[in-house]
Amino acid sequence: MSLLWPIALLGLITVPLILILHLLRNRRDQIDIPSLRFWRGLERKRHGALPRQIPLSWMLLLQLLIAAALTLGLARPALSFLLSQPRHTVFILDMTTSMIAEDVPSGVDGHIRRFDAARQMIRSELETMREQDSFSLISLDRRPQILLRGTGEKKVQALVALDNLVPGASGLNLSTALTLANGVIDDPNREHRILVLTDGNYPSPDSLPPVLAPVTWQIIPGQASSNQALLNVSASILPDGRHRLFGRVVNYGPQAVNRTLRLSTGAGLFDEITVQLEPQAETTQVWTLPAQAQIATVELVEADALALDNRAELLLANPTSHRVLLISNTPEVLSRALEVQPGVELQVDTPEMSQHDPAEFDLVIFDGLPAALTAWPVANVLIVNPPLGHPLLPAQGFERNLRPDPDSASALLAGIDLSGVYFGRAPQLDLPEWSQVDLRAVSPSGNKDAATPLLFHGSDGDSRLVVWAFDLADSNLPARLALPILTANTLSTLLSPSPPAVVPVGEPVFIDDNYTVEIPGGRQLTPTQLTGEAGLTFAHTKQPGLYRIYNQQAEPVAGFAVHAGSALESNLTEPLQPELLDITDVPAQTALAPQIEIEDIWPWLAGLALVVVVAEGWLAWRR
Amino acid sequence: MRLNLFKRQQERQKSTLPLFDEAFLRRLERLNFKTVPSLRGVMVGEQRSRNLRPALDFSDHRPYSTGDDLRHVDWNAYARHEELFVKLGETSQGIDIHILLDHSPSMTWKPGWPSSSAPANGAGNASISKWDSARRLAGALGYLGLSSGERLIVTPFGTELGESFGPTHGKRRVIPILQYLTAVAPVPASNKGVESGLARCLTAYSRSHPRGGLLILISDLLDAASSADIGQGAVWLAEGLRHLTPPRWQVIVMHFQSEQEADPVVEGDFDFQDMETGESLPFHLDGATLGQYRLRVRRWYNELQRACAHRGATYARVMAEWPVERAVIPYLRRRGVIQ
Repeated sequence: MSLLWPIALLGLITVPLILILHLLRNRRDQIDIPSLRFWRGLERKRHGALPRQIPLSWMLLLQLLIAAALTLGLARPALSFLLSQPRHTVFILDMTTSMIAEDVPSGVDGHIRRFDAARQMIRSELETMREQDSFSLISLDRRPQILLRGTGEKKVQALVALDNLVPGASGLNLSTALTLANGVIDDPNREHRILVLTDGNYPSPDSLPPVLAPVTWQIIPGQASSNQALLNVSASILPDGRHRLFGRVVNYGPQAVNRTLRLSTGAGLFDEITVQLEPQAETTQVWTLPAQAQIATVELVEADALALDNRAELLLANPTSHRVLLISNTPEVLSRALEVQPGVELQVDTPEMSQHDPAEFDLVIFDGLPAALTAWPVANVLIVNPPLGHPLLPAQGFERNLRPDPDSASALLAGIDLSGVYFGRAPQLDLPEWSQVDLRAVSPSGNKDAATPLLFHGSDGDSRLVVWAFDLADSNLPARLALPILTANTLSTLLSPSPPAVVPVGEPVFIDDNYTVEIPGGRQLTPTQLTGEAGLTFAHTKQPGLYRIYNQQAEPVAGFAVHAGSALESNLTEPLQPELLDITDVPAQTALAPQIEIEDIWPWLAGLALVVVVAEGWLAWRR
Repeated sequence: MRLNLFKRQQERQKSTLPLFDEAFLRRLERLNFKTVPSLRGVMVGEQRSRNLRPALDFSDHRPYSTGDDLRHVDWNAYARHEELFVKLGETSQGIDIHILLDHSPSMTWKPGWPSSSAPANGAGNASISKWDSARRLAGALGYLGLSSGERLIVTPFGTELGESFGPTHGKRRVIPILQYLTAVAPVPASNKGVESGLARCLTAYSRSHPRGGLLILISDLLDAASSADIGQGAVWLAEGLRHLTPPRWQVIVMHFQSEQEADPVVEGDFDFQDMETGESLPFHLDGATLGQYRLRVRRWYNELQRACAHRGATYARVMAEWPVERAVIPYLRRRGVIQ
């Protein structure tokens, strides 16, 4: 109920005034009587002129009712309108790994997952939703997304979709989630609210955007359970070919525990030890595995609140090995960038002394372009700094002092910080028909399509080509981390993928659509376009385990492991206090200026007052 | 002849007595006081007298004495006995009618409580005070006496006897008596005393009028004398009536009350102020309190009636709300006060 003119409630001061008037009116009247002779002995003890109790009478009650009705009428209540206003509920659902912890009491002595408890809350809200109400569901993880939107009419479909949600992510971005929530609050004729369902298992963010609706925090009541986790499980190859395996075992519980740590390889159980862990302490384990070991699985045998972080697998033998031929007179810079790439076998030649057949290499890199080259070799080719006048890549001249335009960057530039990068000289190439521009320079004229291309790729016949149309020697790119990343991205584009060995659960992996990924369990999936991400990514990484990448010939070319253990998600003991968050609730009417139809009910109250006045007059007339 | 003085005239002042219509006055002319023969009259009138007087229709004789009317000498007896005898016989006489009108403060009480409604019988006038009603009755009785040729004395009394009007007789004295009644005012409240003004006034009046007559006492029988004993009021009345006994006196006590005074209908908290003494007391009126009050009043009525009967007086309780012409006069006829 809202009062459109609440200051009118000052009129309630008439209530005590009426009471005082009735007290004064009901003070004992002095009446002359013929004689006190027959009254003597019947008198009562004197208590003063005013009666001690409020003299309740119909007149008093009616007058109080009149005062209350008129005051409320002046305040202009609008109750009936608010009851019929449709509501829009924005659910922000925490989908991080900690929500998988099975420590929410349910039933007599059972427990369910935090995520299931949150899902049950959303289900209850959806089931009580009216047809005119609407809802939005936003995931709260590192990359929040709008998962569902609909009205109360489609809540059955929403309930089915809700059941299919799978949690799993390391870390979250509350700020982005709230920004997305503001984006779906777009109907001024609805009453909006934001319901955040989370276990609060994340650090307090520094700043949050103002929100356009009231935020309700629904903290899933976990029991701050004891949890032990495997973190940073990784492997490296020793010079003799053996594998060195590292792993941290962390106890996030309040008590000291003994845990059995088991290491298996593809050949069977390799080691099993018992580690003693003090509260909030950790231990590091190192194993040396034989060179023929293909995979390694480390696991904590005893169950705890979060089983997902008790197991970590690794691919020890990377089947990918790429032969790269670099033809350059000044190969130092590119050699350094190539040698740090995993699986690269680099062969360096000068243009004049090159005796190798490009067909024998997975990738041929031309630093400059030999004048004798009249056709692209049937291979994967990277051309760096093409010269003027070459028939394969005709150029008009050089452009100088160029800066890259970040807005024109494609997936090939993913993860590269282009701020501050400059190019002293770049050929003004005529773009071939097969080319797709990945980066352009900032155009002084503002016409982006006419800006000088700095990087493009394409296929010409059986040749797959990437062109870096700038001079590395006349740029600050080699002094930056951007160069090895650009090199890696280029190799990923031209060669088979080389994902990181370990990926946190829920994190996407950049993979070309020429490959398929076999997830744990044996299903094979293809990369898809993720919202907000440039290029193709493989995002089905919510299940910890080994992921293998196959090329179009169904040959395994790479793989990676997904681990659930992380310092953010595995520590279940210190939930966030939402009241400490600095969230500004911007009143929706100022942000959205809703067109509200005010339906006053003051005429009813005024009518009631009139009826009561008539009733009071009738009572007074009867007396 | 039309007595315009008795007609209702709106322009008259508030203190003007309510008037009677001509038909009512004619009915009054046909009425007469019903007196006892033992009363002693002073002149020829219409009341029957037990005393034998010189009369033309004689039944006895007595020896002549100086001053007797020679017309009543029985000359036949003188012829036979050579002694003068006066013929004696029963004859009508004129008696003195005394109207004692209570003008103590309690008579000015106007019926009506703060939360009460109209009188239950609906026949009376709730807005008229006992004082106005009593004056109206006194005027009617005075008119009745004068029209009957009796000698009339009207005396107001409170704690003391007031200045009397009369004695007077003759119908032409009607207007002055009514003007007198219009002008007479109630006395103010006095400090409470232990001696009853009513008893003192009745005693003093009997001593100042030794010949007696018909005394009509119009009063609410309340005075400034305080007493915790409710029956003391009847005692004081009996004390006053002790000097007003037959055969010289015939006393009619017209006890003026208001129906709402006898049977109050009111609830709540009030401060009651005694109109006779000015004393004030707080009361919470509820059913129990009013019930006790009514019991006391009825007991007082009974004691007054016994006191009157003991002294040979006629007790008639008259309600102020009763219309004189339609209720009081018929009531007095039923009680044998008038005929």
